Amino acid sequence: MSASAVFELACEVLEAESDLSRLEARGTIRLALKKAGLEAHAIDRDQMCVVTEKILPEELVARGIEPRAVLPTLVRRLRSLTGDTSKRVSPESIFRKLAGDA
Amino acid sequence: MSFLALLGPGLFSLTSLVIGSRLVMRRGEDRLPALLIGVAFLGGGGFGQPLVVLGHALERQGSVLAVPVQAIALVSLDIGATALWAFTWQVFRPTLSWARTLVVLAVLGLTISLIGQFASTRLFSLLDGSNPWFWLGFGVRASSAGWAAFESLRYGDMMRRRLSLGLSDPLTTHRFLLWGMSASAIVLFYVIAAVSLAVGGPEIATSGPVVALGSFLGIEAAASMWLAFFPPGFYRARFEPARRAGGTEQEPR
Repeated sequence: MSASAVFELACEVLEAESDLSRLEARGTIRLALKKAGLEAHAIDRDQMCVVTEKILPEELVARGIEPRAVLPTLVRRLRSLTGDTSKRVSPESIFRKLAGDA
Repeated sequence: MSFLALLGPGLFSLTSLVIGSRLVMRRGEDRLPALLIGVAFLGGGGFGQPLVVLGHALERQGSVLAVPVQAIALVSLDIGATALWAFTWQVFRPTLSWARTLVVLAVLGLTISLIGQFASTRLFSLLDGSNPWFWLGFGVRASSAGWAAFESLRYGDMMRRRLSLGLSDPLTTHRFLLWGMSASAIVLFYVIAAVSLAVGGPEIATSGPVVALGSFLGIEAAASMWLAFFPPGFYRARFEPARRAGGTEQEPR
């Protein structure tokens, strides 16, 4: 399953702004997403921003990386993304519609 | 005991019939999931299960209607199971090729089972544990509920983790748990039926403890299904404080 553009961007920025390898950067983002209950293939920009602010700092510190060296760039790049960044209709939106909430 | 025997399954069938009909008749965009889960409810609990019970009653009486009623029951159950397989695929794993393959294999299994039962010497022996074709269809039908339960509970767990970040809605999060519980109850019902048949045949299936447990599971499945897909006002209201807080409060217990 292919990852979302948002996930790819986050990995790219983390790799560029830290001394993590490509594999390590992807693993770090994936772990943060897992803790947040999100999946790489379905995450949108706003969700990634929340993960970046609330989960990622702890993950970076655990790897000896100063969050302030990475996160501002990451947040700026994420916010510069425009358009619909979610790749598919989510299960929660389907369940909301099924119960007549949409 | 006869009242208890009818209470759970009866409530489950009635709930399946009402909710299934409402979902199937729903209009608007993106109605495929509603159509699939609606057909699953109608085919499984709405028509299939009551027809199985009726088919057994007719068989015990030696009625000539037993075979046609059981045939319709089988087809109805298989249509419902196919719709449930497709619903789970479309909602939780729409882009994955293994999930699509799984659904194709399930449909193939149900078709082979149906043909096998039609062709077998003991025609439409729905509770005939010696018929391998029966077990093939039984397993595929049980697995449809098993996969639905697994995916819904897995997704519900993810949604619960999002709650603390304000990334999910408490009521919707709880719906996944409810649907997972309902599907799990259906799986347990299948397990009990399988064990009963394997150990002692239809006599065990109609024994007191098995009937009581089956009835309890029927009530649980019906209640969870109702709350998940047509939550009443009082139930929605329980989640309002957490909703207003942006999904950051704990779910009500």
